Amino acid sequence: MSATATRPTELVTNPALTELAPDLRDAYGRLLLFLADSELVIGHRHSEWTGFAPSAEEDVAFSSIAQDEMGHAHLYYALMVGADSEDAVDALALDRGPRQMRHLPLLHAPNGDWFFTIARHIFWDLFEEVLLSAATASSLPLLAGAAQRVQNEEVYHQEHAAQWLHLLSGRAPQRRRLAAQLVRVATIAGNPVSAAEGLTDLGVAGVIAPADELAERFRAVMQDRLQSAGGWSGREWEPVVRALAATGSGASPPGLFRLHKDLTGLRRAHAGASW
Amino acid sequence: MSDRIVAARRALAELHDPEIPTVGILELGMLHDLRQENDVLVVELLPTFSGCPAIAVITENVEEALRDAGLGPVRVVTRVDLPWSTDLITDQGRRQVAEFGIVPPQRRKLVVEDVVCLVCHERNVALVSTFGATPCRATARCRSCGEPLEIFKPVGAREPA
Repeated sequence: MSATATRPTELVTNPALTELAPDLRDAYGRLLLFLADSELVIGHRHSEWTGFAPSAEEDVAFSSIAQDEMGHAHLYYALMVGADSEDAVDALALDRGPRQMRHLPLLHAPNGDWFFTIARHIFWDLFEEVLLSAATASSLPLLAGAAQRVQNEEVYHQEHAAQWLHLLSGRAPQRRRLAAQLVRVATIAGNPVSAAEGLTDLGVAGVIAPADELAERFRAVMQDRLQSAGGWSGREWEPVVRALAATGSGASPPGLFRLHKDLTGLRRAHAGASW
Repeated sequence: MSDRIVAARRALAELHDPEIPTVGILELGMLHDLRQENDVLVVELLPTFSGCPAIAVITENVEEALRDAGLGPVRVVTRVDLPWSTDLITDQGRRQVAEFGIVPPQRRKLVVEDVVCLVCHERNVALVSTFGATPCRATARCRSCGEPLEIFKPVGAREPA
C-alpha cells in the first residue's frame, strides 16, 4: 500500500471490500477516512487535557474519551486496510502529510477555552450519534456491526456531554458563554453531514440514510437537547440552531500543522519501531 | 470437532487478560470463531473495548500459545466489524473479575444504587466517574467503608427478553 496515495479507492485494500463497485468503494473509503482522521484528531485534542483539566475527574474523563476515540480511529482505518494489517493501519494513520488529512477541520482547532472544548464535545458526539444510528442500519459490508461496536462505547461519551450541557445550563452567564461557543463551533464546522466525505454519495446510492435527512435529524436533536437542558430561552438556543443550518465559514482554523507534527513525531523519530 | 480444535481450545483456555490477569480470554467472550482452513488454524477474536491496548498483547499470546502447543500454522483475525458486549462474559468470568477487585458489569446498564461493595458488602456505593484507569472501568467509592472501587462498565448489554 502506498501511504501517499490520495484516492480513497487506492487506500481501500481490505479484501472484504474489493468486491464493491468502484464508485461505491470510493465513497465508502472517503467516509471511512473522514471518520478515522476525525477520531484521530479529536482524540489527540482531548488527550491534551491529560494533567490539565479543571478537575481530576475531568482529567480522567477526557483521557479516557481520547483513548476510546483513538481506538475508533484504529477501527475505521482497519476497515479500510484489513484488521490484520497493523503496519498498514499505522502507515495510513501516520504517514500522510497534514494536507492529506480528511477530518472535519473543526476538530483540529486548539482547545484553549474549556467552554469551547465542551461545545465541540457536545457537537461532535451528537454528530457521531446521528451518523452511527444510520450506519447500524446500512447495507454496506462490515459497517453495521462496526458502527454498533462504536456506538456501544460512545454511550458513555454522550452521557458525559449531556451532563456538561445540563451543568452549564443552570445559570444564565454560563449558558450564554456555552451558547456563544456552540455558535462558534457550528460556524467553523458548517454542516458536518455534508462535510463528511462520501456520505452524500452513499445516501444517493441508497446504502445509508439520505444526507438531508441526517442533517435535519442532527439539527432537530440539538435543538431538542438545548430546550430540554433547562433554562434555555429561544433567544439563547435559536442562534445555535441557525448557525447549524448555515453553511459555515468553510475555512480551516489554524492549528493543523502543529497538531500533525505532535501526532506523528514519535513515528518519524523512530521509523519502523514497534512496542 | 477435530482433535486439533479441541487442543486449541484447551490452549486458549489457559490465556488471561493482561490487564485483569485473573480472567480468561474465553471467559470474557473474546473467542468468536475457531476453525481450520486447509492446514491453517483460524482464530477469530472479538476485541473488548476498541481503545484497549490489551488486544495486541492477546493476539501475540494466542499465536504463541498455539504454536507452542504444536498447533500451527495459525492465523488470528480481529473482528472489529462486530460488537462485543459485557453480556458475553461468562459467570465464571464475572467471578474472576470480582476476584481481581473490580465490580463485575451489571446486566443492563450501570446503576450504581445496585452495586454491592466488594469489601464491606454494603449496597451504598457512590459513582465518582463513568471513566477510570482503563477504557473498561468506572470509578466509585463505598460510602459505608470508604473503599475506592472500580466497576466494569457494561457495554452493548441488552434488555432481558
